[in-house]
Amino acid sequence: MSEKKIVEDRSLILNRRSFLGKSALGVGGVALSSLLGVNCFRKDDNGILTKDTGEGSVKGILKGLHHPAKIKRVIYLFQSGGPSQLELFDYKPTLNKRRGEDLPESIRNGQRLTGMTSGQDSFPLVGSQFGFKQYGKSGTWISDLLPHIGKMADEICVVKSMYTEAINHDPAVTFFQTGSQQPGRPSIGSWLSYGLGSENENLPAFTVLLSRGSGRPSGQPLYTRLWGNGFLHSLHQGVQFRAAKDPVLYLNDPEGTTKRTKRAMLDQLAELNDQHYQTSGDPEIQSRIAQYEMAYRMQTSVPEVMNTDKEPDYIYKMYGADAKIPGTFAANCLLARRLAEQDVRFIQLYHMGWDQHDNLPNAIEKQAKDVDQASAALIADLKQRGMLEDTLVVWGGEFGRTNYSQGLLTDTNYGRDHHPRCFSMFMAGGGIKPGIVYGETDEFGYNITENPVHVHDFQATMLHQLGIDHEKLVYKYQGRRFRLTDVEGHIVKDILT
Amino acid sequence: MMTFDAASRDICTVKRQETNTPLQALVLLNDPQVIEASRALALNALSNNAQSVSEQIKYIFQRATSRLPTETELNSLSEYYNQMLSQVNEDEVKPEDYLMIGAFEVPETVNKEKLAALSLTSHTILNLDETISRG
Repeated sequence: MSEKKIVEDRSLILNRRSFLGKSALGVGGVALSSLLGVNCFRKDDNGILTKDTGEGSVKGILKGLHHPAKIKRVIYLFQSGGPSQLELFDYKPTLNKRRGEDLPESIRNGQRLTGMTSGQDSFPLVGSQFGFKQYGKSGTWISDLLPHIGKMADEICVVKSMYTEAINHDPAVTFFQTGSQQPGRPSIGSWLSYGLGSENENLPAFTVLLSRGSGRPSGQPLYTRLWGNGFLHSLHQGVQFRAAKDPVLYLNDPEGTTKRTKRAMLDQLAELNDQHYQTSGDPEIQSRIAQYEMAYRMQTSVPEVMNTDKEPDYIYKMYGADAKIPGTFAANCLLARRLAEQDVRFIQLYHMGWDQHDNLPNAIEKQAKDVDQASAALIADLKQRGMLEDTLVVWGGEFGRTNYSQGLLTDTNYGRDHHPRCFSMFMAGGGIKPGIVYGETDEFGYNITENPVHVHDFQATMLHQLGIDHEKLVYKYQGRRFRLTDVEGHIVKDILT
Repeated sequence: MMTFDAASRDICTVKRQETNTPLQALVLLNDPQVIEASRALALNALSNNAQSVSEQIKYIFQRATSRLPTETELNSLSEYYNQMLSQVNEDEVKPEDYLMIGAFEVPETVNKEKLAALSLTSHTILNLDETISRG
């Protein structure tokens, strides 16, 4: 943080203090709402979402949206490990016909492979062991592994022409979440918290829920920096809920004390911490004050959101039996909907275990079963509540998988290596054309032949839907203006309504 | 400890990540272990021949932050102590419950009302940013 910025921030806090000195909230409460910002969107007379600049509502750094927003929030169902597009969305009968033949050099064209297969003597083509069907009016081809998602074909937009620059997990996930393969940049949710503030002052603007896949239970680990704030204020980092019965621990006041005791303690802490801030100027202290206030509010708000006991049976039927087991993807999808109802802006789910280097048919069947019903249910559930129109649901991983087998190809078994040159994801909701397939790959499923979508294009499009010009949400750090899309990114206008 | 950025130990970690989340605040505010520690620190202050309340607060503050409180800080904390004492008297804080949290036992001879107020003060000091993020 530059010296000038520190001075500005400090004068801000002094002003706020003198102004709100008599406030019943105390210093801490004020610091929180000013830093997080609340009530940032409102609907204007024409029903268009605009940024609320009204008195008393304090916002993110953006003074107004760059253009009217289509959505208020994002639920990102990240499928970590690199789901195979060839078994899920990208139907390639040629690969079944030419099974066992070597990948033609004219297709590979000398493109790099990972160290895990570059030493193989041959690259035997292999098609999906699982069938594909056309679904809905749109006739979208979707795998037999995803029957529930298939039924939602007319609600979703499948992008078959995603590509990335990274070829290994961590850089690839980091690239998707932060726009850079190198760690250290803020993640999408942090950018949104920074730019737009929070819609609900009782819950973090950016929440994270993890689940492990049954296809590869001990797969690639995820790092907390994937929901980190990078160089932004640490207030903007994602808050990870535990994958267990109690998603947040220690929500109850200690025995023998009351809310008033806690309030007095927080006021005392805020006062002393603030004095310390006045002398040291360390912005992390402000963050600490605000996080304590958030903790105080979460003591009430979290049990309300996380207690799914009162969800009716038909909801559990929609999401599937797993939804009753805390920490599963299905349970997390249900929680995601409940968080969305509370206007949490960025709800990030990670489902791990999509890394099928070997034993793919067996493992991917389990993985698909983990997520199919609940992913579809989430979209249907949002729709029946009228929330799909201002929510964007994203489903996809960090890269795709090779059209040739890693390791031995047998009659019933094969594996697939990482493939960054093409892969599929899907989106649904706010301002995205439903029931379309965008982009095309060659008959070998190796290269993109039509409408490529780069990771930065995807990010730019997501920000666009939120009313943000991706080139204008910037943060100056170490002498350079950084943004989520770095120096690239084109909005994929063709998929927008 | 995962809440405080301890490594999950499934991979090697060169450097711990540093986060600052409301989840950490919840642990430090409500975890029985921290409340127990506050009480132990308060009892140490009492048994350290610290006669006056301000001497007791100074002792706790120094233990937590490695420095003595400024006059403003001391006044503020003494006021807070009195506020807590009145919460005890108004039955807002119940020493018989609050002092039983965790296993650390309180000697019979100690004045429970005063100990509860000092423990809450000590708990507050343990939650200061300076205590948490020092060094």
